[in-house]
Amino acid sequence: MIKRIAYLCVMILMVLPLTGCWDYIPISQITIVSGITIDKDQASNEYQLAFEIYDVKSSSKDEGVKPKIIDSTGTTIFEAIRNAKSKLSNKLYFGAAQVIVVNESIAKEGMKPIIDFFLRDKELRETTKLVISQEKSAKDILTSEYTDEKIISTQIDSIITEDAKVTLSTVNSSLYQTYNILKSEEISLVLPAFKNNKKNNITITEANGIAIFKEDKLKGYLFPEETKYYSFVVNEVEGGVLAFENINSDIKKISLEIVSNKTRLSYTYTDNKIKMIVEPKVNVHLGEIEGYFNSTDEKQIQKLEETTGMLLGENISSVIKKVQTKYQTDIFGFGNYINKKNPKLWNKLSSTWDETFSNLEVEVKPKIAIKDTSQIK
Amino acid sequence: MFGFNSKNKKNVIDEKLKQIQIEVNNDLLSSSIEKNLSTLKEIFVDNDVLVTRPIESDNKGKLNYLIAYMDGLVNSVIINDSIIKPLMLIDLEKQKKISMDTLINSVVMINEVKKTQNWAEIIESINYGDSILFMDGEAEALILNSKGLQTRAISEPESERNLKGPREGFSEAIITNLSLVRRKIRTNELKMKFYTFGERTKTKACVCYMDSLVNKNILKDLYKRLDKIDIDGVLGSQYLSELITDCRWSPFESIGNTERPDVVVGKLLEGRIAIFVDGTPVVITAPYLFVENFQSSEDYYLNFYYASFSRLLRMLALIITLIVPAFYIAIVAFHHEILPTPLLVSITMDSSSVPFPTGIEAFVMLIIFDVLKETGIRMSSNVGQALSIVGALVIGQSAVTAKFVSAPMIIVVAITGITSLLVPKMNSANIVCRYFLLFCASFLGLEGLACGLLLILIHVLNLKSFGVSQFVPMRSIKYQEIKDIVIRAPWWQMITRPSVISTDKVRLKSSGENTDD
Repeated sequence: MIKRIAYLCVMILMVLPLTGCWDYIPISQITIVSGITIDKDQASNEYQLAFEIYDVKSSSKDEGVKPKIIDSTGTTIFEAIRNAKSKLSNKLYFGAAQVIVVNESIAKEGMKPIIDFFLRDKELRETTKLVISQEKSAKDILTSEYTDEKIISTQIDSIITEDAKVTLSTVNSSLYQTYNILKSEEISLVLPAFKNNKKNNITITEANGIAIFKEDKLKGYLFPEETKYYSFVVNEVEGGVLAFENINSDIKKISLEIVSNKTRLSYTYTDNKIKMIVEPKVNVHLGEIEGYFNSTDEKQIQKLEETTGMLLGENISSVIKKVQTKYQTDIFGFGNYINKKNPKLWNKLSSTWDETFSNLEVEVKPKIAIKDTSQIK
Repeated sequence: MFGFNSKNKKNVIDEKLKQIQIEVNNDLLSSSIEKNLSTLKEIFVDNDVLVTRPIESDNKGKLNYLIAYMDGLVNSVIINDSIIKPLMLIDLEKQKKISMDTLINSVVMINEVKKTQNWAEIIESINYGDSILFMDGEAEALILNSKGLQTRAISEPESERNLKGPREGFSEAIITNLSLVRRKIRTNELKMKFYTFGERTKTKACVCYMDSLVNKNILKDLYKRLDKIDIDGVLGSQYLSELITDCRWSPFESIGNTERPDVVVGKLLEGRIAIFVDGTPVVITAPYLFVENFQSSEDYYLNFYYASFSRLLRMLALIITLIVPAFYIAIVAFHHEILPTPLLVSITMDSSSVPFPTGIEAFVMLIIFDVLKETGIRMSSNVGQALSIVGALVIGQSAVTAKFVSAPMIIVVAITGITSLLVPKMNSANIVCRYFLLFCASFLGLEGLACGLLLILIHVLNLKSFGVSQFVPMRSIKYQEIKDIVIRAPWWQMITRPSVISTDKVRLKSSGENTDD
């Protein structure tokens, strides 16, 4: 019996060192951080961090939780976070942090040093979203007024997740994806960009397209409308609306609701010249028409499909062209695709890919299929 | 001085009592009524309930009798009409010689009569409600059955109510209880063997089993354990239950108990053994499988879908009631990451102004809940209303408003409390395990909880009841083995009995479909 109990004790004791880190931190002794912004003071080269925290002590149940901004500075990000502690009675808790907003001037210098701490920190989730601020100071994003959520970070988080699906005006990017992209050579990073919009003395933060990177340095932006066509190329379209003008003499304006999309990439390699072919296959519902259209006529539908497909193709092409000429960075992942399909070819191309990309011939062959005309009786 | 005196006095009394005891044990009856009467008086000294009634039969000849009985234990009508009356009217001329046998055969109108010469036997039966008849000139006495105990009527047991099954429950009289079982099993296979326990209470108990179904090894084991018992008194079946159990220190039951005749019959038909104890409506059954904690007699009377669902609910309730408080502590104090952000914020808001650490808070609240529950059971129903107001308002509402406890804690305690009521057969196990897990979790978080659960699991898997592992059927995945464990299979699928308990396996011989071909 004593032997059995001894065995049991040994077995249980063995379990303890095998587990990860644990510690007793009562829930009442943590300060929950919802978002972090990072600025840099150019003169002193110090990081200026602002934390949006849930102000649980002074908010009441009925009104909901109010946010509170805590500032701190430090030579490194870690030090700045430790310095912030001295202003609070409780420990900062990053497990619930939703966004990290980075000032664009820091992003121009490079993202790698910024995300290093956040990837090493054990508390912060790797799914935390990384956002580029187009304001002079990233902190301004957090001090904007709220529209539906009191916590600005939560609002930014839901704008990104919803807009990436519904309006295609931004992209979803978490910390671990950013890190993976930065590690690979074949694809360039894009991050959602946010700016404040001032109307009637109310400042509201909103998504403003995407920020384009070359390696880890910020190069420029795509507008929200352009971001939509970027999404078609990278096959990230889950919904959204396509609106076109002046289709033909009968139809002035038209909106197509995207039901599903599948973009196929392919390439041809002839005479040392590479050509990419982008084929988005879009299923749409007819959402809205200004003008005359007989939705029972097969021919008219077919014609409409062709014209809208052409217009979509033009739009996508122009976005690709813009990136090729203005930024020369492969955010579409063409290189990644070639690497996967034909690694030998990629080995040949990789050294001069930036040049090749900017002169790359890209053919866009979209196909729109109207699945439902939602006829009005 | 005084102390010495009293001690001395006590010694004297003790010795006297011992002497009487020896006399009682060794001495046989005398043939003289006067002597017997004085011995009786000596035995029952200072015992005024004893009634001694001399009778003279003067009808053409003279004979002296003496009847002795305990007042209140006997039925006076029987004594008047069936004993005294025939004795007085006995026609002595007709009989040549009146002997004890003549009395038995043609005088007293009593169904159960026994001759004895032994004082010990007389004492026992007189205390059980029998009357003793002495006759002049005979060194023997008759033990006449005149029991007239006041018993409770058969009513539905409070602790095991059901909707569609029989409503009768056991009462305190063992004979009535046995009759309730005998009424349901009309075969000679049903064996009932009497035992007497308790040096002073002389409590009657009855071991009851189906001869062709019972596992003889288990029966032999049970007899061996019963024979070992030497106790001064047995007032309830729990006395026996704890004396013959396998795992003495375990909070888990290894012997079942019930107040319902239908449950006992059901268990007998699966090859189990039931032990009835006089003076208690609770009958114990053995061997006991772990799954019996979740079974209810109602399961077998309701549609099998519903019954299976409620059985699964009970299992779920056990898991919830054991784990929820510990899990809450582990998350709130160690693993905040598990919580979704809105919940985390809301819990933080609630507990930011609570004075005590969550572990202590949970412990205190659970104790308070158990106090309320205990008072609810023990109090008379008049106080119950006041109690529920105090419980709901003071402990719930006011404690939260006064910021003594956080609102989520109240929810946790309430869930724990409610779910524990679903498995009433595991009350003691619930309490022990819940506080144990709470302790583990408040020191080591989820790791502690996991270790604690492992320990409990190891213990439960080691549980035995009369040599039968309580978990045996669950190790097998054959349908017939688990048909009555996780679910309650329809009756046409209940083909076999639990294999570990019974020797005769097949219960249902006609399991074919009812189609008219």
